[in-house]
Order: sequence, then C-alpha cells, then structure tokens
Amino acid sequence: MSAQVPGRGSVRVTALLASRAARTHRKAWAAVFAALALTSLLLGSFVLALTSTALGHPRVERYAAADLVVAGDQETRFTAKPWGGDPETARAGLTERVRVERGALDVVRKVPGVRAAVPDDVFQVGRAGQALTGRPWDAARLAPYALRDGRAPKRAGEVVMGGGARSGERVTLRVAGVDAAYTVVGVADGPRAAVYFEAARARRLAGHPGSLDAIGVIAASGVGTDELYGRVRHALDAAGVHSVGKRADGDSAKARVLTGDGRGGPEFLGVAPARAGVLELLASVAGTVVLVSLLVVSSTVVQALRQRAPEIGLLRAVGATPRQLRGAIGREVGRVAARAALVGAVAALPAYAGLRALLAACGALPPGLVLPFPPWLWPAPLVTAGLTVLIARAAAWLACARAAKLRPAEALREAPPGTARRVTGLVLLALGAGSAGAAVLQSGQTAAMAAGAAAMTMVVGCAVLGPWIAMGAMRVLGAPMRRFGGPGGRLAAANCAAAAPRLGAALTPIILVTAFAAVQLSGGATLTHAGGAQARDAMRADLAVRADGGLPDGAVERIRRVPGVRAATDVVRGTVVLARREAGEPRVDRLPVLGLTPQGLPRTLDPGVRDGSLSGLRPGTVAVGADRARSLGARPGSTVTLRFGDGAEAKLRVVATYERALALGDFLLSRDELLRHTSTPGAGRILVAAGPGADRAAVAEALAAAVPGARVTPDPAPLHVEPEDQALVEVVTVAAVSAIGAFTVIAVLSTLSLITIGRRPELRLLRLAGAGRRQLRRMLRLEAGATAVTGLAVGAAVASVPLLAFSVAMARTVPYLPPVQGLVIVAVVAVTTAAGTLPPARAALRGRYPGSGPAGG
Amino acid sequence: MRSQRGGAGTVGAERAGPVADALTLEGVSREYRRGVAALHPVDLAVPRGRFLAVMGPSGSGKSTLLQCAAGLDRPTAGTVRVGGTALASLKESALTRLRRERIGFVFQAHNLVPSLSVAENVALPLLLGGAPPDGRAARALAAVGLGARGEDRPAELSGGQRQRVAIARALVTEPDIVFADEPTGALDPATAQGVLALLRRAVDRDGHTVVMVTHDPVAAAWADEALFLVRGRVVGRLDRPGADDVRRVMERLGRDTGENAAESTAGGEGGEGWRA
Repeated sequence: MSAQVPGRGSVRVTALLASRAARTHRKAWAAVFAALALTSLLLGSFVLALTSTALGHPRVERYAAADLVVAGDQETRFTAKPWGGDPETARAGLTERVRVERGALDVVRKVPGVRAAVPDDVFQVGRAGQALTGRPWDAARLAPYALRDGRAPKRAGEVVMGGGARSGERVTLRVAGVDAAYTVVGVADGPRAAVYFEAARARRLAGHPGSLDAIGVIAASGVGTDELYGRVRHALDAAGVHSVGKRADGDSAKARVLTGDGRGGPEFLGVAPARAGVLELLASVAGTVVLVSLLVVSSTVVQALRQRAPEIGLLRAVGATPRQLRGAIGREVGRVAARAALVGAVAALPAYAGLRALLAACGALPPGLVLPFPPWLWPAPLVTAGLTVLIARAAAWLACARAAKLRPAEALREAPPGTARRVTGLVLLALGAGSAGAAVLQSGQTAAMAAGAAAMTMVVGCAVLGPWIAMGAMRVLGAPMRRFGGPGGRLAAANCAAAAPRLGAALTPIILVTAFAAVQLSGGATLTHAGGAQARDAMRADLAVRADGGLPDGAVERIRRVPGVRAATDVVRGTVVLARREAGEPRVDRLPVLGLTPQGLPRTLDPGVRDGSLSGLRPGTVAVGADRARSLGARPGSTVTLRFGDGAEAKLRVVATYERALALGDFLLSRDELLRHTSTPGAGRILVAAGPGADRAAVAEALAAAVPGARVTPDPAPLHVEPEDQALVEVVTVAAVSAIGAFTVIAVLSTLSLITIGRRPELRLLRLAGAGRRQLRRMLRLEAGATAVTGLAVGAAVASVPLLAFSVAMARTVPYLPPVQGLVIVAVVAVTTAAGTLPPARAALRGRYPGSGPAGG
Repeated sequence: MRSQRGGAGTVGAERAGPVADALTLEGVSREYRRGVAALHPVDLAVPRGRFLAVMGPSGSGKSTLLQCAAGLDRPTAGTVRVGGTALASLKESALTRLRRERIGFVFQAHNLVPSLSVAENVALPLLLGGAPPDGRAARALAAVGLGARGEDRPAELSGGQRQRVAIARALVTEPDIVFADEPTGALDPATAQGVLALLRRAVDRDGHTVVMVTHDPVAAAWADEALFLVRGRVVGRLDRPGADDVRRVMERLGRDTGENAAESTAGGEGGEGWRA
C-alpha cells in the first residue's frame, strides 16, 4: 500500500461511501431535504421577485404613441460623507409632479425631425362628487385615445369625456374649487375617468400657465428615436431649460428626455418610489430568511450526522482521514441537496406567482407598476438552487469538522456542556440586552435595527444556553407535574430533568420561531396599534365634510358661519422628504404629512401640543412631532429644512412640537403651503366641531346645504397617517414570518422525532417494568407540553426585551401583538411539538405486548 | 515491566527495536481532567506473535489503555510505539495512515458501516488507502468462513458473523497489531468461542499480534498472557491464564481495593504465572 493517499482512489472511496450512505439513511435526511427544498424555494422566489422588480417600470399608456417625453426630474438626492468613507448618495422618487418651464415647448418644436410636440397638463376635476382627470384634448393623441363619438372640443365650454356621458349632454365640472358648466361634444377611448378640455382652457384650469407637466414628442417619419433624443437633449441643454421651483442641493433641475419604458414615469409618479421601496424591503427580509434557513439547515445536518457518530468514529479508527470523511459526507449531503434544491427551484415559479397574486389582491402594489417576467428569467431559480447546494455543503463541512478532526476516541464521547459554552451564551444575552438598551436611546430606523440585532443575538444566546434553560425550566415545571400528573407526571418530571441537554436541542427552534415571529409581527403592529390609539385620542370633531371631486372654494369659511358650528379645520394629506444622516450615512425618507388650517384646532383635531402653539401655523412654518423634534434638535423658534413632494426645498420655522405623531405624522404643515406642492391633491376633508348643546343632525343638514356636492359624516373616522407602502410591508412581513415558521416547524419536528425515536427502547423498558400504555402516553404528552411551554415562555421573554426597547423608543408604549397572530404562534408550536413527540413513539406503545419491536435495535 | 514470555523479553525497551516488538508503551498515562488520572504511567511491550488480554473491572482504564496504544487517543505523557514508530511524532494524517495500514480494530459493536456490503466493509482500509480492488478482501472473508456472504449487508448477518467480518477487516492489511475492545462482549458463549478461536488462529497460524481488552475470564483464557488493571494501574499479570485462575484474580481484585490488591494477591494464589 502506498504511503501517500492517491487522489483517484480517495475520490472513489468517498463517492462509494456517499452514494451508499445517502440511500441507507434516506429517512435521516428527510428533514435536511425539506429544509433545503424550502431554502431553494425561498431563494428562488426572492431572486425572481428581486429581478422582476429591478426590471419593473411604469406602464406606458398616455404617452404610448409619443417617441419621446420631456418632463422634470422626479428624483431627489442627498449626498453625505459617512464617517471615514467616500461620499454616498441616497435617492428617493418624488410623488408630486416636477413641472418644466413652458418655454421648453418652443425649444422642442424647433428641433429638426420633430413632427409634433404636444404639451400635457394633468389636473383634478370633480363631477358630482366624483374625481376625474382633466387634460388638454391635444394630449389624447399621444396615447392615442381616439374619438369614439362626436368631435374634438373647439371652444372653452366644450369637453370630450372618457365615458359616463353622451355627446350633447351638459355637465357641471369643478376644478380648483370653482364650478363651471360644459357641453360634452365627444366621447373618447381610454380611461373612463378622463375629461379633455380645449387647449387654452386646459392651460388656464391647470393653474400654472408658466409651466407644463410634460411634452410628448412625435418624430417625423424617417427620424430614429435615438437620433431625435440626442437632438432634443442637446437643444434643451443649449436653451438651458429647467424645471420649475427651487430644487434641493444636488438635485437636477434639468428637464429629462424619456424614451421607451421610461415614458411611463411622468404618468405614474408613484411607481419609481414604490419600486425602490419593494427592492429595499425584499433585501432586508431576504437577509433574515437566509439567516434562519442557514441555522435550520445546519442544525438538521448536524442532527442527521449525530445519529451516525459511531459510524464516523469507526471510519476514523480504520483509517479514514478527516479529509476523506469530509469528502464523503460532503458528497452525501450534496446528493441530497441537489435533489432538494431542484425541487425547490421548480416550486419557486408557482410560489412567486402566488406572492404576486397575494400582493395584487391586497392592493400592495402601486397602480401602473409593470413587473416583467421574461422567459429568460424562468431558470433563475436554478442559480439559487446551486447556491442552496453550496449552503448545504458548507453546513455539512461545519457539522463534520468536529467529528472528523477530533481524535477518534473523542469523536465517540458525548462532551458535557462546558463552562465556555455557558459564558458564551451569557455574553450573547448580555450583548443582546445591551443592544436593546441602545435601541431605547435611539429613534427611527436605528432603533428598529438595534432591536432586530438584539433579538438575533439573544436567540443565538438562548440556543447556546439551551441545556441550562431546559434544566431551569424543568426544575420549575417539575413540581406541578409531580404533584398533579400522577405516575405519568412523575415519570415525565424525572425524564425531563434527566434529559435537559436533549430537550435543550428541541427548545432552540421553538425559542427561535417564537422570538422571531413575535419580533417581526409585533414591531409593525405596535406602531399601528399605538398610532390607532393616538388617532382616536386626537380626533375631537363631531362631523366631517368631504367631496371626492374637491370641495368648493371657501368651503371652510362657509362652514364656520353655519349656526351650531364651533370650529372647522381643513385637512389635506401630502408627502415631504426629509434628508438626513443616520450614523453618518445619508438617508432620504419620504414621510406622509398633513396640511391644516390652524383655526380652532384643538377642538377638531388635538395633536397634543407640547411646546409652542399651532395658531401660528402659516406657510413658512411647521409643527414637528416631539420624537422627531428631539432627533432633529428642533424646538419652537428654530428651523427645519424639508423637501416637499415636488422636490422644492424649504426652510420652515418650527412653531410647535406635539405628541401624537404616530397618528398625525411627524410634520404638520399649513394647508395652503402643502397644496401648492401637491399636483393631484386627494380628497380634502373638513373636520367640524359642533357647539355645546347643538343638534348634530340639524348641523349636518345645514352643512350639506352650505356646501353643495359634499358628503357629511357624523363621528368621523380617526385620522391616521400611514406610509404608502404599509400594505406591502404587511404582506411581505406575513410571508417572511410564514417562511421562518415553516423552517422552524421542520427543525422542531426533526429534532423532536429524532429524540423520540432514540427513546423507543427506554419506552419499551418502561412498559416491561410495568408502566401502562396510558401512563406512558400521559408522560409523553406532559413532556411535550413542558417543552412547548418552556419554548414559548423563553421565546416570549427573548422577544420582549428588544420589543420593549423598540416600542418605548418608537411609540412610548408597551409592545402589542394582535391576539390572532399570538394564538397562531402558540398553536403552531403546540401542534408541532405534539406531532414531533407522539407519533414517533407509537411504534413503542403499539400492541398489548411490549416485545422487542421492529425498531428494537 | 516486561513480558516474561516474549523472545525479546530480555532486551531493554530502548533497544527493543522496531523488529522485535509490535507494541511498546513507555510511561504512558492519560488524564481526562487535570489531576484525575484515568491511566497511571504504564510500561508495556508486546512482542510480535503474542496474544495479550487486558483485564480489569469497569472503569479500570483498560479501554483508555487500548485507545492510547492504538492511536485513537493522545496520551497525556509517555511514548507509544507501534512496530517501532513513535505515535507522538506523527501528524494527524500520518497517524491516520498508520492506523489504516498497520493497525487492525475489532470493537464490541458498531464495527461495520451499515450502508456498505460485507465485502466492502472488509476492504474498507484498502479502499481508504486508495488501493485498487484485489483478492485480499475476498481471501480475508473466506478465512473467517464467510466467503459466501460478501454481497450481503451487515444487517443481514448475526452478531457473531458481524464480529467475524470485523476480524477479517482487521486482518486484511496484514497489520503489525490488532486491537480488540470487548470483541465478544455482546455474544453468547458459544459464538464468542468461535470469534476467539479466529483471533487465536490469527496469532498461531499467521503470526499476528493481538491486544484484547475484556472483562470475561473465559475470553482471557484464549490469550498468551493476561494483564490486570485496577484504577488505571497495572496490578499484575498472568502467563498462560486459565479461566479459573483469571476468575480468582478478578474476584480478589473486586474485593480488595487499589494498590494493595496487587500485594495481597501476590504469592502464587492466582496461578503459576501470576506476578505483581
């Protein structure tokens, strides 16, 4: 025999061992297979979702027939230099229109090769309380939306409707609070909620005669789009055409020339920011899920191999080198992983389709967002399947590193948990608690991140401390079991106490799922819950007046004069962008805000003013939520710099700070100022407080009469400002928690059933010693119960530390978990624990005679 | 302590070169925790062609002795030589190769890889060494009387048959020494006799060297010499042990404690070859 290990022979023997073992130990690999298939499925779906979102673009409808579209730059940027790094730039899409100087139209028209340059303005139109989109009729040809009936509008009093009207009909339309009568002269294809005006009229109604929303450019025949793009770009640059409004430093005021899919941007302003939000969310969730999958995959691999410790010891003794062992086990895992990864990759396609359908059903995707799914993307899950196999081999390598490396004698000895392990666990717990403590002192994203890190660290700490936790828990639970459990209970108590290290392994995944799910679900729920409570406290109004098509001019003033009305406040919603540094990194956050008329505020809406006064809330001023004020260092009299939804930057003087920012948003602005920067304001709402002793029904009637076309509702719903992507975050969070839950179910089932199978001889022995089957079943049930209760309790305790920190920092409340979600966690843990304990023991409890049984050896 | 029967027994350990002794231990001790010795310093030489039984009650350190001698565990102090090679000087890979090529193992249980066939189990050390398949495994299997069972799985064999397969595997590389740890511990007496007879034959007919750990006096009676361990110390030895002699010594060792056990048994009570 040669002294050196020849490479080829070595490969041959590892391949032999791997192929034979994979077949023999098929059952032991079942959990690994399931975990890997799930990993592959999730990674595949994530890759599909990420790629599809990265390829995503706004749908091109209005400008489908235009070769180019000239519009303002809808992106705002903030560049900062992180500590000791190169400058970084954060970006955010603007949801309000950035308009272009009207002079651009003449510049574009003079470019050779331009057949037509059509200006477009989009504005809100109300018709009998219904919201429509108003545009100049010329712009309809950019789609093109053809006339189905009638003719084009030629005079100021004529319109073409998208639907819901007949030619010749008279309609009353409200634009910017002013009602006017029009004759419908035609009906056009395209969206029903559209109304087209004669060009000059449209320009006047849009209210910004010096600027326009977009220019659609149609090329002369024979002129290529690329060529025309170059010419138009050059002409605009040469003429120095800018967008309107003072942009923030670093933002581009140049007009943009859009081609291809980009032409949809000016139509669906919400798509670009939403797409960025989806990408960010997917990336953050993917990190957590991958981490959990790594934990579960490696723990199932370790378990599968631990059963075979004697075999590995034997191979070491008869002369397998650590490398050969690692090779054999790596190949064996690789075989299992390859199949599992393939199954997962194939399942990833329907899983992704399901996720898309779920998002669509929940309205979590913005209108106009196209997520392409081209055929070349279909095999993408195969790439992640390869990654899954690598993950499995890495897990196997780690799992057998100890067994293969140690002296063969030690590989066979079960090492008792040592001091080092205990110290590590305690240090991790302390780190987690420290991180949670740090979260209390932070705010916003930093707090959320610190809380997340704290949860992760503490879960790992608990995994390390598993045996001791089990020991402590059994000491606590043992007394009642012994006392009330009868003989089965006494047996269970004795078993649990003796088997603490074993139970520690089973506890870890239960603690993991409880803590993770609780942190993930409760984090958002706490904010929503606390925000809801604040919203209820803030709402003081007795009545609300609203009209979807917009309220008429002077509606608030008219309402204030209605007898029995004590106070009335006009409320509009909008968005501001806050550029700031977080730990040195630049960030631009889009925050939902309210615009208010301040008169009589605390009577209609009470933000809970802490410092200063809201009565001075005029354009140029702002009220800031107390926590945000603290992090910005703002107080009444100081200034804060904000960017409005259209990118205009303003330095605003702080007039007040207030408490109820979770409900009302971090900034309260003057209604007039917010409207100035809002291109399509949503339906406004006027909150009305009735005077003391006033008859509400009578006041409501009087209000309806005073404001034509308005709806008056008693006891208005609380005002709760939420981020636009709330629904998306909720769907993705639930999906991520379900994935984590599924992983944990695999881990718990595999751990517990391996433990139970290992105990069959012991159960049989107990039967031989005279224990009744019912007693043994009772014992097993009590043990399963003790495991579940301990896991849930420790998991909840682990989760509560970071959650408490998070909710104190963010909402100044205690954490909240919706009862249904809490029950689902408990139910999943209970059912899984029972399923892992009772069925695998059946073989030992079956029949009247204990015998030696089929699995006796 | 030197063996009394080996031809090289009179030669000093330092000069007892690689040729003479299959195994030598010089001051080999093992502590698992600081200050708690599982094995006190032991000196031992096993000449080639010798069948040595290591006896002792549970916890006497006999398995520790075997694991240290076989390169399965690292002694806390002392030198182990197998066929003249000092194990402490070997790196992990060289030690593994030595176990594969020059040492054979028979354990009480878990002797065979369940997923491999019987023939493949026997050939395992050859396969691990990268040798091409040849007739050695088949011959070794035939030698233990299981030539027809090569294609079966270990699970299809009886306990005694499995131990025979293990012996075939232990001998397939023509090792310097075979270590057997309670090879008959799980067998009925009749089957155990068959397995022990195989080991005896390997020594007598083929000149192999066997070190067997056992607590069974009947098994020890198959050896040329029995070594008695109590609490990690060698307390005596017996040449050509008879089962009854061994049993008497064991009973005495069980009654007495520690070091004085050896003194109290001295005086020929244990049998002709008994010495402390």
